Amino acid sequence: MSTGPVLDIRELTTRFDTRRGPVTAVDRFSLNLGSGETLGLVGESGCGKSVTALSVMRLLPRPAGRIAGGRILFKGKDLASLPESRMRRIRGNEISMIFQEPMTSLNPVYTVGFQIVEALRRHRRMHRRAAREEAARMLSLVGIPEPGARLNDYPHQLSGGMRQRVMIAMALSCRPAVMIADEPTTALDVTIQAQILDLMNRLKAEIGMAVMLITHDLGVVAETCQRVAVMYTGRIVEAADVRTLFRRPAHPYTVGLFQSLPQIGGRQGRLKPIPGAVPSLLRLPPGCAFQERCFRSDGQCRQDPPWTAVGPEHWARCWHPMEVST
Amino acid sequence: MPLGYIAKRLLQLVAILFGVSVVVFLMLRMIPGDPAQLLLGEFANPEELARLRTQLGLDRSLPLQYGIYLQNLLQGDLGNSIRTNTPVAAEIWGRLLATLELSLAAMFISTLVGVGAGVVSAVRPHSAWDYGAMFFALVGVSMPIFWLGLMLIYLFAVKYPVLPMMGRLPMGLEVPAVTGLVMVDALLAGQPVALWEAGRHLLLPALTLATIPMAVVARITRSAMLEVLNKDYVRTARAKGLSEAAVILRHALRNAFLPVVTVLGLNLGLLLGGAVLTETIFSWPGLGRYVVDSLMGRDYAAVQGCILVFAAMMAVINLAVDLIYVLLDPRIRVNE
Repeated sequence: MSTGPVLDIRELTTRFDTRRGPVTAVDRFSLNLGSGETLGLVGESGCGKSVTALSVMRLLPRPAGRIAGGRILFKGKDLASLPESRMRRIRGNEISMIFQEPMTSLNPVYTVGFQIVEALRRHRRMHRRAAREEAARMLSLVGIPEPGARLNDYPHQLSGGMRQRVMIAMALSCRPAVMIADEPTTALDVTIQAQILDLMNRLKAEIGMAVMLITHDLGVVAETCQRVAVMYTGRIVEAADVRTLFRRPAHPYTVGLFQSLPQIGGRQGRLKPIPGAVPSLLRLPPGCAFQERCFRSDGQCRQDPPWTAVGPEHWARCWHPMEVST
Repeated sequence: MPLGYIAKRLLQLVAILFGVSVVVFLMLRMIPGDPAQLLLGEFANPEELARLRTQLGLDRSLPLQYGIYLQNLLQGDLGNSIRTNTPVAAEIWGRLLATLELSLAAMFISTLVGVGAGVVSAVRPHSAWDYGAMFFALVGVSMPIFWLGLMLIYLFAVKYPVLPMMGRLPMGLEVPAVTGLVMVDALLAGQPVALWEAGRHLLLPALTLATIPMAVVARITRSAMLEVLNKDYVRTARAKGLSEAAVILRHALRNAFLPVVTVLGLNLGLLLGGAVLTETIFSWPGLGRYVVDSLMGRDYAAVQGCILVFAAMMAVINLAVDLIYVLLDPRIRVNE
């Protein structure tokens, strides 16, 4: 299906300078995204998912955040070292991003039409009228009724679901090769959530772009992604295709994630939370960051665990991965 | 534009002016001091004083005096000055325009510099520029106007005489009065020399008057921009690939403008009323000086007229600020 990766992230390291010293929010992150593929990036809040996305977009909050190492290869260019002016031509054009908060992500003082047209005029050098027609077409593409009239609406006149549709229309208006969706449905009602995910799946196929979907919701991953990477304290701890990961998780952390999920028709009884708490990024233990909460850890875990192939296209960063029979 | 809303507010303005006229009328007569005595001097004999009081209508009862005043007011007659016996309305009008010209110039300078400095400070917080600008803003609000005015005169009119220190135009130069704003009139009359001279005369007093509001505007703009720059929609604007200038000026500043407009409106009111010191220092023939002189001479008609004009202007400025809110932020709608 894929013809080589469209986005190839190698050893990406992102640091933040805080009052209590530098914090490595993303640590030697390597991942690639095939064209037309949907890849899920999952993990708990604060594990570095969003920072990874902002690093790719080069939108880290300044001056605290910076890319401290690694490369982000997109169509042969290294985004990590691209001058800002060239990066601006990629943002919103070849790589676009939608955010978790549809309620606050649109500018309240401009009409949605203006905000979509703005992107088109910036990247496509379109004339006002042509850009407006295209914006209306995008709105109808994301399933907004009476798109011509909605162009003149201000964000506060639309519901959360509608606003997220507008955000998607805006992100897709320049036909990007990659869309990064950072928790696009988290702030929405469950029914709206399903509609938005359907929409994203449909448009992905129509436009032929790759999607990096950031979420903490494994249900969303199951519905939309082909491959998944699990992050813990800034590192990828496991990566596999969706089927494999859901059937045979190899990293004890991934196992813990599944055990803490309620299952319809599954065994009755209490959910099993992962014991302990996520360690502070300022005081990570040496070796595996999960060792203190892990039911399989031993002395070996105090050394950096290797990135081990546990099956075909299935890796885990662990000394003692679960036995995965293939 | 919500015309019904504007009409309603203008009707309210009439009620406000009525209230102001009553309060000012009573307060002026409550403060000690007798206009007749002030006019005739300490050694005037009682008969002369009584005659003058009758002549000025001061011997009648207060309600009757107010009734006559109100009746004249409704016909657009603010009364005659006790000191000069000329119609107060004409006196006020000419001076009001002088004050207006000075205030608008100060407003222009303070907005341009204040907003600019605030934006740059917010975009580069904790930089040398930020600290420098905020230091000057602090100095600006703390500086006594009269001292600043005198220093500017000393520097630019005495030590390095590049600017005039008083008046609106050099002696002998005149422009036909159309609007009463000398710079505008010079422009209308097509007199570049007069325009240049009027600008030179305006610069020092306007700068003096602008300093405090400039500092206030800079600080408000900085804090409003700092807040807005952290909003999600600013990140969205950047994610669209917009230039930094578009992100800051189009997406952030427009949102940061609401608190700034409030302050600008308050400032204009303060400028109009607070030009007294500046007008005195630079011999500017404005309303501020006139009202103080009138008050000293217990010139009831003149003071009443001035304060009515101030009140009307404040009300109009407030209305303008509210209407600008509606223009700036589509979420604000007026209740008609």
